Amino acid sequence: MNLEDLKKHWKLEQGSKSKDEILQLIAHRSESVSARNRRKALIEAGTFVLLLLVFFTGLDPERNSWLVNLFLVLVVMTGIVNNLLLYRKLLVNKRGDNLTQSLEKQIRAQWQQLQFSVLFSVLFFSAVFGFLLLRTEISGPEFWLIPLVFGLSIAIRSWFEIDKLKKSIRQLTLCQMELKAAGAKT
Amino acid sequence: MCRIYRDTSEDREDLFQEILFQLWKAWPSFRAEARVSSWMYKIALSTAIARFRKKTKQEEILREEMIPMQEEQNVHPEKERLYQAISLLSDADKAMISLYLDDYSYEEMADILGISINYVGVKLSRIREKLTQILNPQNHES
Repeated sequence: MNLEDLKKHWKLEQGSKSKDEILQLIAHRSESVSARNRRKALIEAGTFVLLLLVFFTGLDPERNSWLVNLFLVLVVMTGIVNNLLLYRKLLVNKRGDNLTQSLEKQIRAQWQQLQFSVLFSVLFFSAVFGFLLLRTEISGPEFWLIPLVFGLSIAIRSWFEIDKLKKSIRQLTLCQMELKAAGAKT
Repeated sequence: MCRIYRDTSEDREDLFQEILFQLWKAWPSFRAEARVSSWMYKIALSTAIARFRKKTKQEEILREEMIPMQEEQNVHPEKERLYQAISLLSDADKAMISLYLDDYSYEEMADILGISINYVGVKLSRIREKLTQILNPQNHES
């Protein structure tokens, strides 16, 4: 089979959508992209706010140094801002870059997000553990248990984020490498 | 493009809508230096490839066995076979062959993909070989 044969098959019953069909499709699935992502960002931001409310109304923040409390607020605010920025970064190619450039930007952005996620996990659990534990004296078996729980919490959260992003980065990198092999102009 | 990059009709609808969303958002930055269709292709390809979607085990098995997940209604059987064969190619190869089949020139293909124009012909002939092998495995074995 040559390329012209392929093209001939491709042209069979070219199924383009009418304007009405497109409008119907948009109306039918209007929840699927922007609304879904906006909802996710709002839920996560809401969870952070709720966490702050619980910590500052039910867990005696006055027993902590103001620095510990401020640290928790700053870390949680960073999480909220990152979520809102992620929502704004939903655009994959707003400048109309070619595929090679667009992939490069996507990979860079996802690596940055991965690094941020790990750093944020460390900061977040440091702030939470600091808030709950710096006001009490710890001794005995708890002294060893706490670092273990602390480490595990960071590891589990980081693992989920890394797993999700690494698969996506791997897929993008594969495509980028193939384009580079075809003389991509980077 | 949605038919090539996604296996199920629901995923295709999702991708189609997402491409429209991305086009709508990117439209203010469009400069009339190239054809609108080339610009649209750049956005659509970036969206289709950048949006990672984890495949279920069942989809992987069906894909490997080349069993149509949900045959499109009113699609010619030959074209359906071609769709399936193309869906087995890599993301970069899918992009190149769909541009070729949609009658883009080598120059436009190089511009949309960001690759050297000299490689377009070479790469296309390799893709053709792969597709022939997928579509006619018995001929290739003999």
